[in-house]
Parts: sequence; C-alpha cells; structure tokens
Amino acid sequence: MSYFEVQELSKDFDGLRAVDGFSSGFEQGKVTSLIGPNGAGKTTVFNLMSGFLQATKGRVLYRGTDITGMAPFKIVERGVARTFQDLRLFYHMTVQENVLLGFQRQREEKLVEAIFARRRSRIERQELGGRAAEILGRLGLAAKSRELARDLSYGEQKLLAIARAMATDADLLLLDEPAAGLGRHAVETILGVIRDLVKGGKTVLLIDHHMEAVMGVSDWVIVLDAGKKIAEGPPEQVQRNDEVIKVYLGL
Amino acid sequence: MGEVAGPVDYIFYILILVSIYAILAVSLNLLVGMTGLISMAHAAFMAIGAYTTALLVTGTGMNFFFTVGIGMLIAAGISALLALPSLRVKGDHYIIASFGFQVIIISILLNWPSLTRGPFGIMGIPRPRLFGFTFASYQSFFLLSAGLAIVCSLVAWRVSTSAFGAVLRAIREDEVAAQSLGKDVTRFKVLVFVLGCSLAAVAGSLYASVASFIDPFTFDIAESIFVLAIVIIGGKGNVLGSVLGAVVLIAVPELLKFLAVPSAIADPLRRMLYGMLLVVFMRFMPSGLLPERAGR
Repeated sequence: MSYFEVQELSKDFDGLRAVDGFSSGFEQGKVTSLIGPNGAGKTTVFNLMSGFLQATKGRVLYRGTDITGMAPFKIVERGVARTFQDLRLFYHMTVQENVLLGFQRQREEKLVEAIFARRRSRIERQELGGRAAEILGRLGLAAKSRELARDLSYGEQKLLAIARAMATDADLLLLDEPAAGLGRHAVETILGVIRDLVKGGKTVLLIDHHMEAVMGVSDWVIVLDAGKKIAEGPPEQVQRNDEVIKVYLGL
Repeated sequence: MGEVAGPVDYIFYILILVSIYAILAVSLNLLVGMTGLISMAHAAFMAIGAYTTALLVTGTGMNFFFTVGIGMLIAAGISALLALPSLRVKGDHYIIASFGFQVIIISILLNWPSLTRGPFGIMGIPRPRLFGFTFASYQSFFLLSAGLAIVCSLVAWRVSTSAFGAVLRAIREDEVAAQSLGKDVTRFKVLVFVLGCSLAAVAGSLYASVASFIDPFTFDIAESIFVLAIVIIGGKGNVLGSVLGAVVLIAVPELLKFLAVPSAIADPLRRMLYGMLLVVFMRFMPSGLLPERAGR
C-alpha cells in the first residue's frame, strides 16, 4: 500500500480529456514533482486530489482510504492540504489572520462556544497565536504578521500561501507552482522551506515550471503530457529521457 | 401606533424604534456584512417574530418573554429549512431565493385569515409584563428594547471577534480558499443564517408589542431593503456601524418632522432622503460610516 496513490484517474471536460488514466504512487517523506507543458493536466490532477473536482473515473487513495469525491474540507481534515497557483489568499485580512484560519477544529469555530464560552477558549487562542507566530517565523514573515496580505510582495504572498497550508497540520502538502514567477533569491527561500517541511516529516507534491527548482528539490519526478503520464523517475533520469525532452522542450 | 402623548413620549418612541432597527441591522449584518450573504428576507423573519408574539399574547395570554423565545425558535427552524437547499447554491442565487421567501411569507400572512386575520392585521397587542410589572410607558419599554438590542449586539460582536467570525469573513472573501483550509463552508453559512434570522424575530416581537397593531404590509420587501440600507450605510461587517446606521436612518428623518413642512410633503421627502443617502454613500463612502477593520 502506497502512502498516497492515484489509480486510473481521468477527468473529462465536455469531451476534452484533461487527465487520462493517470496512475502513480507517492512515497511518504519525499518531494515528488509533477511537471509537463501548459495544459498537461497538472492542476486538474491537484483539483481531483483535493476534492475540488470530481473524477470522471479512477480513485485517489490516502493512507489506504479512498478519498475520491470527498468534500475538500474533509480531505483537509484527513491530512491533505493544498495551495493554489493564483494563491487565493484572504487579501483583506492580516498575515496572522490568514495563518490562524488554517488551524483545524478550533473551539471558537463552534457557534455556541464563540458566543458563550470565550473565557474557556482564551487559552486556546493564545496557543494558536503562538503557533502562528512560530510558522511565520520559520518562513521569515514574523515581522509582517500584522500587515494585510495584499500589501505583501509577491514572494511573501507565496510564502504565506504555504504558511496557511502548514497551519492545517496536513501531512501531505500539494503545492501548486510555489516558485513560479519568483526571482532567484525568492526561489531559494521557497526551496529551503520545502526541504524543511520534508525534514520535519511532511510529504510534498509539487507542480512547477521552474526546471532548475524542480530538479534541485525533488526526489521523484512525474511528467504529464496531454493528461497522460509519459515518464517518471529520479530527476537526473527524467532529465535525460528522450520523450520528455521532446515534449517538454518542444525539440 | 400606540398612543404617543407628549414630546418625551415621542422621543422615547423614536429611541425604541432605533433599538428595534439596531437589532435588525446588527443581525442582518452577520449575513450581509460578515459573510457576504445578501438576504432580502429579513423583514419576513421579523414578521415571524411579530406574528408569533401577537398571536400567542392575544390568543392564549402567554407571557411576552416566552413568545420571544418561541418566535426565535420558529424563525430558526424556518431559516434552517430555507438555508439548507439555498445556501448550497453559489453566490448571488441566494439573493433571489431570499427574495422569493420574503414574497411567500407575506402572501401567507395575507391569505391565511383564520390565523392571521389577513390584511386586517392583529390589533390590541398588549405590552410585555414581567413579575407583575408592565412595560406600559415608552420609557420603560425603551429600557427593555435597548436591553435586548445590547444583548443582540453583544452576541454579534462576540461572533465577529471569534474564530467563527473569522471563518465567515474568509467565506466572504474566498469560499474556495476557506474550503481548502478545512472549513465546512455550508455549515458556517447555515449556522450564521439561522442565528441572524432568529435575532430578527426578536425585533419583530418587540415591534408587535410597542406598536400594538401589526399587519402584513408592515413587513414587506421595502422593509427588508430598508434594513439592508442601514447595514450598508452603517458599515458592512462592523457591529457598532449597524447601531449607528439605525440611529442615522431612523432618527435623522424624524428630525424633518420638526421642520415646518406639511406631512404630505415631509413623507415623500423622507423617502427621497433615504434614496439619496444610499446613492451618496455608495458613491463616496462604500464602506459606510464605521468601516470594518482587519485584525483579530
């Protein structure tokens, strides 16, 4: 049994097959990258894994449980969280509020407790504040915690998206293009964060276009083209694969 | 509307209206301001409270305070029934669903004469009694209505400053992102909707009791829009803003009465003033008198 597994996953959009019989297993505690040209179906795969899209066919298994078709929030509860290519931060909230929203099963998320039991939840609130500060500290955002998310630089916003996903305490993080559009320095920061996550026992599944970044951080690379898996293996092997070179570089 | 004797009574009567509309606005603000759910049915839920109190107090002689509780429960039940199907639909569809609900409730009140006396309304609704004391004077009734307005505002304030409120604002800003952080978006929407609607019923009970007469026209769609206007002008997402909005939109037009204009002109003038206030606010102060502030 794989830690995380997709079996024969397919998704049709009005006759267009965006993902076509994709099967693969993902190892715990590793960084696996999903690469491929634009329109290869990478983000669709993420949407199927995280419950935001319903698969036409196939299954997604996490720790042996079938999570296909579960509501997104239930998948997060089980320990799979994601980020979005377009970040989807709460731009009108502070950096700290964004992270606080990531924490699961807060007492005050129950309406009755929110109204009647504030004294009891005070300790929890302090504790969550501390955990948020710790996450922001690890990502170098501590000084920004009271700023609005929309006032951050693009690189900082990308870090905040990861911070928010980390706050859910998920074991498996699906990161959609965390390094895209960033300068060299910011890419290094993100890669450092990903390595730290894995060192801390997390499993990371990555989509990115930044080849150097992908190859530098990944333990395993899967190449998609037109919804189909065309190759997978360790980065150095995939880089030398003729079909990959042809599809990916258009040579 | 009751019997307003002198200027002191008149002032307290206005203050009572302010507190009733503060309850309506604060509760609607939970939906519109905090969660981004624009509801056109708030007057209908006010009507549910008003008719529950009016029918039970005049029909069975039940104590006002029990009828408030029962009105809240009925509003909660009906709002849950309405919420479960309609809050699953995305975004603006809910506005239409709530509009439909508003129309249905008023039609039922008009066309069920054996229960509601239809267009004739219910007369002679007595003032509340508590341990032998009757809130007969406007002054004493004001203490009651202001007390309930404070309690409702406190409830709304606690919700808005809690993690629950943070999730509501997250839903307003980006539902998909809220789901991606493990939030059961439908559960939060249904709960806040039920809470907001049951508080609106409290305002209805108070209104029935102070006015001593209600009919279906009191709670028509214009009333729903008026409460929406209070929320928007007061400041979406800001609890105190809704209270301030109620003061401004209830009390300021009343001041027009002191101008030497005949009521035939003053009345349309007041309506025009509402309309103009809305347009001016939307153009120059879209976040209202007291804008929402970020940060918990």
